[in-house]
Amino acid sequence: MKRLIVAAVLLCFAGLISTAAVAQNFDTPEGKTTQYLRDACRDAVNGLDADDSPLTPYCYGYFVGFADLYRADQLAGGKSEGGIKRVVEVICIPSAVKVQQLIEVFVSWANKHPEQLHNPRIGGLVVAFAEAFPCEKRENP
Amino acid sequence: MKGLLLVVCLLGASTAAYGAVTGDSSTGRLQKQCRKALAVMKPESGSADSDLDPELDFYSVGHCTGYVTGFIELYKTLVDDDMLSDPAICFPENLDTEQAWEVFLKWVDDHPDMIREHRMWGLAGSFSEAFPCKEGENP
Repeated sequence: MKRLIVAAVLLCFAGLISTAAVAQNFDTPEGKTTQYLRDACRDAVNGLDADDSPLTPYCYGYFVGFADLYRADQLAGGKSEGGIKRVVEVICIPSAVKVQQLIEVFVSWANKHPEQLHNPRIGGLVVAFAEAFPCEKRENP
Repeated sequence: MKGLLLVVCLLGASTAAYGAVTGDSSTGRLQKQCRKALAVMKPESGSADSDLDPELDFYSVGHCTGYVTGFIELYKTLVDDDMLSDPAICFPENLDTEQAWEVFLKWVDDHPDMIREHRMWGLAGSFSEAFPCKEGENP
């Protein structure tokens, strides 16, 4: 039983250490690239959860943060003033699209554009969504 | 009893991960995640309630880090590309993720009435108070 407890404690510490290392990497120039985010999200696309891949929560968090801000008007019931209304002129993501689908779109786009992998992740995300969800082909949501 | 340690440790991640995907999008939830993240990245802050609290797990650190950076980077991009008609937040150039967590956590502590509101409004509220755009400032 003692071995079990020791193993449990070591597992907790190992998880925290690797989590801290990943969190630090996320804030470095290398961590801010499209490639790093693509790699983090590839595990999420493959169905790996936080137990299997320490990068998965970063991917989900990043896309949820993006999606929440993108849909700020929707969250406000369309009553917000100013805000981000103009973003819908560039990217028109249908309201039914889930975060998981956004991740899949981004990973697929990044895999097809290796020349973009060194660029900042936010730029990759915006370009990927502008390509996948252009506003010209549909009415603004 | 002793085996409880292992159960708590292993269940911690799955419990919070479940909460994240099942739709708790409150400011209070993000507060807990970011408090854990700050405790891991900056132990001297003493912001963790308990290492064995199942609400505070590995998933939280990643989700808070990703969420806050995703929000900030999209907001900055929208401002830089002139896609915001009236920016309320002017982020400083050298803001790092830990500073952003501290701003958010302090603001939520000062505004306990906000913990049930959507996490996006909590984060936006804290940043707009800490980093307001000064008159005449062109972000």
